[in-house]
Amino acid sequence: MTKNIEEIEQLLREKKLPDQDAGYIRNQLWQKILEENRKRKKTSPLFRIRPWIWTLASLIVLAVSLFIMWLIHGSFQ
Amino acid sequence: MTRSEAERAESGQTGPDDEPAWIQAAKKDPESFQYLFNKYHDQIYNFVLRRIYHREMAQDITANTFMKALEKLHQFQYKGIPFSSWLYRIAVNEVNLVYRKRKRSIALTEQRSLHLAHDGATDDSLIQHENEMETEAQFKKIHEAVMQLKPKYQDAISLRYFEEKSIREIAEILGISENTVKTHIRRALQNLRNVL
Repeated sequence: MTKNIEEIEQLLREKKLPDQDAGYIRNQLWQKILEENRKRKKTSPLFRIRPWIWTLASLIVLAVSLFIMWLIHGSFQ
Repeated sequence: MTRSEAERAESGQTGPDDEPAWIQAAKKDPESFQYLFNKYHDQIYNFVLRRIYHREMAQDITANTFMKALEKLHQFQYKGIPFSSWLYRIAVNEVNLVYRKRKRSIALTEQRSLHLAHDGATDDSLIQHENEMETEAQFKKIHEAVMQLKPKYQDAISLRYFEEKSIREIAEILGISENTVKTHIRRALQNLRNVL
C-alpha cells in the first residue's frame, strides 16, 4: 500500500541514522588539515595562478609579438 | 591571539558571538581555524555519513570540506549567509563531486555495515549493539531509496529530514530560492512514495 506524504516524512525523520561520535577522528583530522595547509603554502606562487590567467597572458604576449613583427615588417618596406 | 584564547579555541568553550572574531583570526592564522573546526566537525561528518553511508569515505570528504574551507576562508564574508551554511555548501559539493566521479556506486556495493564487530562483553552491550544494527538496517533501506532520487532532490531531502534544516537554511546552503527548495522536497517525497 502506497504511503502518503506525511507517512514518508515521518519515516524519514524517525529512521535517520543517529549522530555518530566523531571525536576519535577529530584530532587526527585537524593535524592532517594543518599539514595539508602548510604543504599548500610551500607551493610556488606560480602554480597558484589560475589557468585562465595563464591563457590570457599567453594571448597578450602573442598579440604583442605579432604587433612587433608587423612593425618590423613595415619598417623594411 | 593569546594563549587562553587558543586554549578556548581548542576546547570549543566560547560564546556564540565570538564566531566572526574567530573567522577573522583564522584568516590571519590557520591554527585559529581549530575553533570553527571543532564546532562544526561532527555536524558535517554526520551529514556526509548520512549522504554517503560509507565511514572511511565520509572521513575523507569531511577532511576535504574543511581543507577547502580553510583554503577559501579569505573569500568568506558575512553577506546574509552564515558560516555554517557556507560549510554545508562545500560539503554538499564535495559529496556530489564524489558521486559524479564514481557514478553513485560506492556505498551500496562496498560497505554492508557501518558498525565495527561487537566484542560480546555484556548482555546489555549486546542488546545495544543489536539495536544499533537494526537502526542501521532501517536507515540503509531509506538511504537506498533516497539514492534513487536526482542529486538535487537528495540534497534537499537530506538537509530537511536528516539535518532538520529549515527551508530558509536549505535555500542558503544550496544557493536556490525557498520556492525551489519546496518544489524539490515535494517532488522527492512523491518519488519516494513509489519506493518506500
